[in-house]
Amino acid sequence: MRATTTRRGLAVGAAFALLLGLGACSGGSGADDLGQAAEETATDEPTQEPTDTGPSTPVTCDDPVASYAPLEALPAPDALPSGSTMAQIRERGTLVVGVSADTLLLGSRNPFTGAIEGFDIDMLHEISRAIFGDPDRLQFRVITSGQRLQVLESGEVDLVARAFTITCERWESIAFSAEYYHAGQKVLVAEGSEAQGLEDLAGQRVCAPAGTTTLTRLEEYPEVEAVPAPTHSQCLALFQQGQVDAITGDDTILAGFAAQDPYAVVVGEPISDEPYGIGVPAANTDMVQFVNTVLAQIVADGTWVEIYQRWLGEPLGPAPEPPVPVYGRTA
Amino acid sequence: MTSTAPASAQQATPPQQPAGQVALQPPAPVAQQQQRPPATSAQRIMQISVVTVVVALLVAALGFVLALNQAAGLDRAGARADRVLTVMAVRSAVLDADGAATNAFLVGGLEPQPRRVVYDEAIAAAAAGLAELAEGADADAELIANLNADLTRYTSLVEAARVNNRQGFPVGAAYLDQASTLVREEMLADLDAVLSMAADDAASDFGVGNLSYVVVLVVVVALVVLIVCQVRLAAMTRRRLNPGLALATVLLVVAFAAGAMGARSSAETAAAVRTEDYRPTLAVAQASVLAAEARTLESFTLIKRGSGAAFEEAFVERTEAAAALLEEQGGDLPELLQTWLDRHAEIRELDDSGDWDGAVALAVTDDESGPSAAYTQLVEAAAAEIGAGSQDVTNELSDAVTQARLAAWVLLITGIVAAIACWRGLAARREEYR
Repeated sequence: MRATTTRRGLAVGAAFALLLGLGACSGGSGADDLGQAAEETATDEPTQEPTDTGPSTPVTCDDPVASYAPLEALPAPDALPSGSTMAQIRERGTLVVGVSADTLLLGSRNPFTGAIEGFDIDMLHEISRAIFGDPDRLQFRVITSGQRLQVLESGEVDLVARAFTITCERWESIAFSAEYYHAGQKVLVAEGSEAQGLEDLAGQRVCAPAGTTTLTRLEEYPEVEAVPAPTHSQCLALFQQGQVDAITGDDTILAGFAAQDPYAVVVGEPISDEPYGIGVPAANTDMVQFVNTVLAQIVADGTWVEIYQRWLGEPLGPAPEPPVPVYGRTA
Repeated sequence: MTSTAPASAQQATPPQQPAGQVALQPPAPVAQQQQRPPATSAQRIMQISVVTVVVALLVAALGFVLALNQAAGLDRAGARADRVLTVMAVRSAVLDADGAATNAFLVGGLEPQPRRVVYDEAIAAAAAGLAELAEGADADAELIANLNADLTRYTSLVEAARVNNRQGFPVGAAYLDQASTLVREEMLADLDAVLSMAADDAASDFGVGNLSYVVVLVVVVALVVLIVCQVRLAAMTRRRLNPGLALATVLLVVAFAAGAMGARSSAETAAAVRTEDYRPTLAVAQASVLAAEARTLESFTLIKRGSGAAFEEAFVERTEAAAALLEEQGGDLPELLQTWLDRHAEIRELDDSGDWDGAVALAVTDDESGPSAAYTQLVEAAAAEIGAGSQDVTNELSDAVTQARLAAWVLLITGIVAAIACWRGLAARREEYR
């Protein structure tokens, strides 16, 4: 009898243990309550624009600034050569242009009016005027420096005017107009800094936008810690937050920064030549010729100086001689 | 059973001569144990008494603990369901703030007052939510501390953007970009981690509700023991029924049936709350979070003038997911979402046709028929539904908790009463054999 009691006790215990175990089972996880386990919506960050760093071996050519010869005379807007790229654009009704919206003086959005304006933008207005007889037929596409080649290669835009330095490497995939502005790379530091150039900034953090000739040149100073940012303005934000010690960039762009921040100064002599050209899809040589004709005309009639004075006269001093266009490229 | 019981009790001395037997017995058990001699009747009666009392008490204790445990679990489930919804609310608030800040940026230098109000309220809500989360923080304490720090960083970045915007400095856009990136890449990820922890905790507590089968089994085992004891006793004493044990049996059957049913219905209530209130509320909260994300993306499609395609893709992805969630729940939310999407389509149409200014004007208008108003309506309706759902969860779970507590006490008291009944019922038999 004692033995049976023990056995029964064991059996009961086992049953209890089993059922306690069963009772402890829960009905579904937290992910079930949330509807799905795969709720992690793919955070494909749209802000992270692709940046083209380009091939590492420098591409050489005889003369990067040499563009296609201009037309003999600028056709009237209503007499554009039929079948030409310009005629097609006129047909479409707008000139689609890739620009910056945050590079003060060259191309930036005026927060008060919402309009995008600057030296580069005015160049585009002149081209719009030549095609449509109306300077305002521009459809802006705001792009980062890193997107400049890509939007031209894919034909998404007709032109890019965004502090775009003419280089041999870029000629490999797109075409440029003749040089319309001659910039040079300088350095922006905090007021009171002793540095006069990149050579004085060993061991310091220097910001430059990704996908630019500026960043490439910065890499020639291995003792400087290069910090890439998606846009020029991001560099200024980082500088103001103390996350970088200096910014390097074209004097035009840095002038725009100094205008936004009284504690930032641009120092030293230019360490490079940055010939700006208007980017055009490689196939549209007729468009390049047309743009060159427009540029030659605005230099000749004084419009170029007028535009320079409007945007760059104050921060950079009186207008220099406009760059002398070089032609002679053959397709 | 009745046929075997007498056999095992055949050596029992007839109860007619109890006095002599009892007098002889006291030293016997120790001596007899080694040779496994039959126990005396007095010993058996004593054993039966003890076994029945112990079983009744065990059942009382076990039932009490199990049911109380269930009540505690459901109580926690309620608190944790609240926590899940609080995480959702913080997520929505942060996104609303960001949506308002980015949308205001479209307007230009001086942001419109209504946007500023939305932003301020959203930040206050996010801060309050984080404070609430910090209180119950456990494994996620560090994440919540991070979130607090990030919220401070976020507001200071937005202030920097604002100050620069007011002066017309484009660097303001860079600050806004940093702020938005902070929300999307860091804060949302941290909030997702906190959310999945909270959801898992709530899920495991909802599961605690289902102990009714254990209670039923306990009762069945106890009844078997009681019946076996009665059968033995009947065989020994030749009496059919012991009133004490019978009473105990009936008590256990009735009260435990009631107790088990209580526990079961409590568990069923909890399960129903989970599927009928908690999950739908979570779905609406998720949809609302997705919509808030999409709202920011809507502004970005315009801020990244002409380069908004990637943002529009993300917008469509978020809103389709939100639509799917709301469709399941019914109500007027799907319709409100559709209204907003229709207005959004008008913005895209304008922008895609090259009329960026027109698109921005439509995006920022506070006009009744504008997209902002449609979005606000959607968000407010969703918030009302989430609030009501969360209230339902709390109320119904507290009902379930009450049921489980009641069951616990019924089981405890019944068990004790049954134990007393057993003891007292056998008192006369013990006397007889003494």
